[in-house]
Amino acid sequence: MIQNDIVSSWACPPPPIAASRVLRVHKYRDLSKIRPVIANAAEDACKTALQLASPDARYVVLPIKSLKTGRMSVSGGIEFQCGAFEKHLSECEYLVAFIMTIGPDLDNRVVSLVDEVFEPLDALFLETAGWLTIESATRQFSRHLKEEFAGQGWDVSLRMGPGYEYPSPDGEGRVSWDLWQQKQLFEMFGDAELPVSLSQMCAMSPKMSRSGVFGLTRKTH
Amino acid sequence: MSEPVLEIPEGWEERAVDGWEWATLWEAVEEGDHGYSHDRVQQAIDAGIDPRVILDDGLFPGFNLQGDRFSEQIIFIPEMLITARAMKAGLALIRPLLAANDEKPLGTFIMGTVLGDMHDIGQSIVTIMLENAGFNVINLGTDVHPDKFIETAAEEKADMIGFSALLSTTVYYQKVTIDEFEKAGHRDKVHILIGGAPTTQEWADECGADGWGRDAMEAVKLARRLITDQRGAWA
Repeated sequence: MIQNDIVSSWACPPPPIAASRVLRVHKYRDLSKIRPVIANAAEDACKTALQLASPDARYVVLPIKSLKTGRMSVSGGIEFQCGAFEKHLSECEYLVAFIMTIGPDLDNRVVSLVDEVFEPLDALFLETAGWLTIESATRQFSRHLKEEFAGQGWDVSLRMGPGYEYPSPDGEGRVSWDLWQQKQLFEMFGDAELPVSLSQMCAMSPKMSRSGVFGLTRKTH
Repeated sequence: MSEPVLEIPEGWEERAVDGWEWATLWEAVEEGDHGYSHDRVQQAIDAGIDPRVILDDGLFPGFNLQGDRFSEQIIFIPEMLITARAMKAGLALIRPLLAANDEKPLGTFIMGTVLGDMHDIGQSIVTIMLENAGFNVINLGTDVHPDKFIETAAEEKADMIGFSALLSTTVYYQKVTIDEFEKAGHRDKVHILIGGAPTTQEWADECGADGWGRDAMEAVKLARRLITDQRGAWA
């Protein structure tokens, strides 16, 4: 039996990011041809990200009441809509919603690098390192969930989230999960104190934050 | 694809002082050596070279070369940013002198991220590139209400406005803000450009913008082109 409706916490040390990943994001394919000033800036950004990032997540599990024609109802009267739900979450009995952030320090340093000391390259690379850090931390969090729920007899689905696009179930084109539904996702946490806030336009603060859901299906073997 | 080459300003020797050379400054801007750029521009000022000449003959060649390389995808945004920093180091010294000589910027550009959107880095990069290209840029920051854009545009008699948006929920505010300019009777006085990850040329057409910048350098090219197109006068 899943213990649901309780907001749980998870944190991890900041995952180190390789400078080569930052450089690849910025289209550098042949890393041997990069000017030292660029390569060094990427290295420094990764070190700074490691110092400033502090991954912190909250998650909550709620039973899925129904899932039909792209409409999913979750206990507590919360409803989500996305044409890709059936493909990814069809056998799921529970929905795990999470929010994760690496904190405001990296956001603030990026602003300061542009506005105060005018080091735009450092700002750009630090922002990229920040996004890679939160992606990496989110993958660690996903592994944590898999371990936690495997022991209770559950498989964890792929991650989905408002604001993202997914292949259409009919195989033609893509369908999006509307970013406005961040509001419902945050509602799943009730009154719990969260390290991330949501603006009226569904922008998360700190900017270096992620949100999403995983489905839980009963293990069949 | 052809390798861009440095375009040496014709007749630059006649506009400089005897024995002067610009090649080291062209290279410093190209390479992003902001310390040298600052020092060489100061030397040029001390030597009595006209600030407009320093800008056109000393700073722009290296900047334009990198811009051309960026367009050809030989270099990427990081190289443009270190060039921009070197350019800015020199510009900071000559901008007050240009103003004192009553030299006008290419135009006044109001920049900001639309209401509800807190994303900053993209529009900051566009601001840097526009300033380096010779625009007077007033950056209103993030989460800017349409009224603030309109009020600032009127106060500054703006030539152009740029709306950035990074979220699918906020991109609609580019259209809302353009509509507000229309309602305020100011739409014909400004060129409006949009940009940001979820935006496309189709969206620019649909929301009534005058142009869409795929990236910072495209935005600069577009702004340079549109600025020659006359708009209605501010009162």
